[in-house]
Amino acid sequence: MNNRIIFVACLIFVLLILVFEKPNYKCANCNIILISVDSVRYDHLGINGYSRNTTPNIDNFARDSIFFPNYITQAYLTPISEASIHTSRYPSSNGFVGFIYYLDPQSTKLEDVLKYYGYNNYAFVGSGNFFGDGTFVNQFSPSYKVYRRTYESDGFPLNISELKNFTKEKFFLWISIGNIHWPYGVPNAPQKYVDMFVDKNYSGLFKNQTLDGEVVPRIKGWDITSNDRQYIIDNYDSGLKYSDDYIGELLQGLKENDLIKNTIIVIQSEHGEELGDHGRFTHNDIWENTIHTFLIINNPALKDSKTILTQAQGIDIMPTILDMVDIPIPESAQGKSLISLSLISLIFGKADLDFNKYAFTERIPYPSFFPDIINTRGENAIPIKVVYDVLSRYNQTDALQDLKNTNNSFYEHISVRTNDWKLIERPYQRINDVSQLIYTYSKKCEEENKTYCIYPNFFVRVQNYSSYQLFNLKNDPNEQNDLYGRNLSIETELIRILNQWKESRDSSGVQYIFNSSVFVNYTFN
Amino acid sequence: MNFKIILGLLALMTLIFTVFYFDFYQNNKNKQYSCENCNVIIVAFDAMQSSHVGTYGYPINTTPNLDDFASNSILFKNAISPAPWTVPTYISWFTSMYPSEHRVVNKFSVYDPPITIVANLRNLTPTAVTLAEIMKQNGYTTVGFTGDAGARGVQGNSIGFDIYVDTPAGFNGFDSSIPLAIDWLKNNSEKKFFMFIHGYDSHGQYNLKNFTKRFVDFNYTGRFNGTIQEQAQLREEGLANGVVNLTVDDVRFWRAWYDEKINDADARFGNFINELKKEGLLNKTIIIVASDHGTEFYEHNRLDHGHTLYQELIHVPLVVWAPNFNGVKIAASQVSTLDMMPTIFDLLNMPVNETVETQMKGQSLISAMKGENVSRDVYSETDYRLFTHKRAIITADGWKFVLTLAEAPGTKNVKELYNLNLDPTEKNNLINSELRIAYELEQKLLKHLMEMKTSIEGPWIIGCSAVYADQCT
Repeated sequence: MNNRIIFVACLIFVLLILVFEKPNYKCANCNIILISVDSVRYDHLGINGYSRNTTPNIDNFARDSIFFPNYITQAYLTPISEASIHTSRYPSSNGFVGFIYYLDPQSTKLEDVLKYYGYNNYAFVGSGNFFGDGTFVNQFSPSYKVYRRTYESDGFPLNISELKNFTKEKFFLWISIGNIHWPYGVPNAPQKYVDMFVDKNYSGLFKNQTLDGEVVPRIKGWDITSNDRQYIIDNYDSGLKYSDDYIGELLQGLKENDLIKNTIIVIQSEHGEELGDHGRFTHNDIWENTIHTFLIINNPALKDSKTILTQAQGIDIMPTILDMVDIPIPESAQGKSLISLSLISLIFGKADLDFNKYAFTERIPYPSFFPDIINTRGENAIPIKVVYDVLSRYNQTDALQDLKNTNNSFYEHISVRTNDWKLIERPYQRINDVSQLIYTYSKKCEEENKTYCIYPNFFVRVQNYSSYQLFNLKNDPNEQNDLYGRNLSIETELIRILNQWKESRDSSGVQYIFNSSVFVNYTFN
Repeated sequence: MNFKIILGLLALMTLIFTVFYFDFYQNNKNKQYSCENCNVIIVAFDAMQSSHVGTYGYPINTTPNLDDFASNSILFKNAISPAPWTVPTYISWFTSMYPSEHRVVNKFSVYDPPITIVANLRNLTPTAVTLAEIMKQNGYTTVGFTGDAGARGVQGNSIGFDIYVDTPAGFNGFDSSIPLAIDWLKNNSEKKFFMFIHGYDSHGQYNLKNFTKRFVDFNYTGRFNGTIQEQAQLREEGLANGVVNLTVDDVRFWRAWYDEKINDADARFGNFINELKKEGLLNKTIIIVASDHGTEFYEHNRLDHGHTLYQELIHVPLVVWAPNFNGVKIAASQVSTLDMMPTIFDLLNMPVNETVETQMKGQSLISAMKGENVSRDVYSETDYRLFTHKRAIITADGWKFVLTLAEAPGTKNVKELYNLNLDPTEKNNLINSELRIAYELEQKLLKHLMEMKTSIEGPWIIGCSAVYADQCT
């Protein structure tokens, strides 16, 4: 009797296989291109409904590919997020939590695995974070045959004419586009981009200013007019358009060199941007607009395009790529292959699935934005001492106590997100945003008597956040309305999920090793 | 797809499937072996390297009795032990679990707070079921005659045994255990029994009462006399310094010392088999002969065992005699000695419950015994006396990757890769040249560690965990 059942089961199985053609997404020996576009807000993409035609090329490409509009990064800073993507590990698991930290060698890198399987790795970096500030370049560049930066201001790191050099061998290209990153407005780009969205008659606060992090409200949010805000946004959009055109040319160039048919192309942004949503600009926190960007996966073996609404995480990119080229995924990877998880969707057309119900992001302090607790043991360490002084001067005794309490560990803000809700945990809330910016600019600013100076040369802002924040992303995507304390069942569940994830994060092998000799001279080829 | 084509293919597949299915089923039914109610004996030659055994290719006639026994049995050419020393291995045999799973990895486990009590399977892994327990549940009388030390009962080896002899204390050989076994057999011939016979004869700490030097076939003028004290000193020196300094003659001398011990053990074994024949037990007893591990004789610049995962320590002899088994003479597949336990159940046609099925990491060797290629990836590990922590994988096609998690304070994650087909003596570390294979094997090993509910995080304590009486003082 048993045997008969097995027999019938086999028959049904055979039938099922014949009827449903499982998409063959494997593309072993396909080339791989990973394009990391810095600072793209999801809601400024045309395909997501933005009112301006900022991204026609990205939009078209998304429509022809597997598009993940709910792509969430695991960090808010460029190299930290990128390191998280290349290792498929949360920053707290791979050790690279700030610009000048050491990556845990047990966190296997995508480029190294690809090298083992005969890929020739080339990196063309346009974001300053990948060639100047910090230890990312030293720890990642050895895995590449060529690791090259652009020296042109507002230039792109790879010329379209160079694409023909890649037709002979199997390659992995990592292209980082840094033009959208502040300073906003790509002033050295062709004039049409500079002028594209800006009001010619603008004469406000930021006229003739370089819109960098010292000029726009960054850590401190101060009041600016809506015109001023729009002016910044218009400049931001210029950068977006400029980069989108480049991406369009790149894709065209790949087509002309007959590389599209055997190349997997992944486009993502390693973080978004605040554009005045909380009175601030640039990217310093794990707000929705900073961690929600976009992900496009184009696999020549998968002809049918699809939009998948389920969340994707940055840590899923490495497993997805390796899965598609049929290379074993390292055990150290904490993400999962999005293609494998999405197969049901790709077959049956269902767009909202059960994986990645929760996405997690970390905001771990690092020097010059937050006191670096680990590195500031002892009274003479600069950031802490200064901060202590300032807190004492402003009689912030509670904040001072909190600072002392964190002496033996990092504190961090972490968030858990679903497509409907976002919960952010903010411990030691009284010392949120205690920051120390050493800018000689401030001195200059004083001299010129500008009203928006950061004065004195460091700034303390002690916020009174509650320990958690809860936002309803469907009604309030810009997170203006903190609902914590008013949705008990949602909060309890999300806190439980967040704690569970906190426990499970694998970081015991990691030492947050801080390299204080920051600006190492790296010779570029 | 065209409907007609689907239907056609379906019909064809049904036909093919039916034919193969019934054919396969019929064939299998006829060939199913069973030795229900057969006795079972496991004979353990402790510390005997397979390359010193005649039938494994040793040019010197050290093991005529074992060779003879093997010629009528099934010889496993490529059996790998899950550990390179005694303490973890017999527990692995009796549970078919890896040392990291059963957790008896050193004589004194690291308890918190630190206390000096002998590691015990019951304390460390209370859910583990042993071979003897299951045999007993099935009506067998279970007896063990051992040479003590790493085979000591208190560690958990005696769980499920009606009788378990591990006295006198020390490193005792077949000369102690076999007479007791024979005696018991004579007085209990009507009982269905499972017997474990163990001897330390070949071990470095087994004291040769009279070293005849009959295998020293050259004029040795070196500094050694062949005493267990000298052997202990060399062992400790190797651990402390990473190497010992021996001349070619020294090594030859020590091997001759080893050969004599093996030869003595073999004679005792021969005697035992003869007794079994006399008692008429051979045709109703399954006999498995194996070693728990080998012994290094300077293959990697040291002596003794436990301290590495090289082949001289983990490639062990394995011979299986099953009455009336219609099988091959030599099974070449790579197998693990963890396979002993499921094989015994399979040969006896003894069903086991799901807990035991899940517990057993080995596989039944019956198909290998019939000549099928069952080569698979096998794993081995050691935390020998907290001198070292190593984990290894050997793939079915002969690639070996070894990860040394820690070996001295500061040493972390040292990796080795060997192509055993081209480099059987493991001299040529390919870790920097075969990057792809190194990567794949490392991932497999990490996955295995995860499946054993361990990770590479550690902490990997380097310290002193005593095994011999004079240690860690």
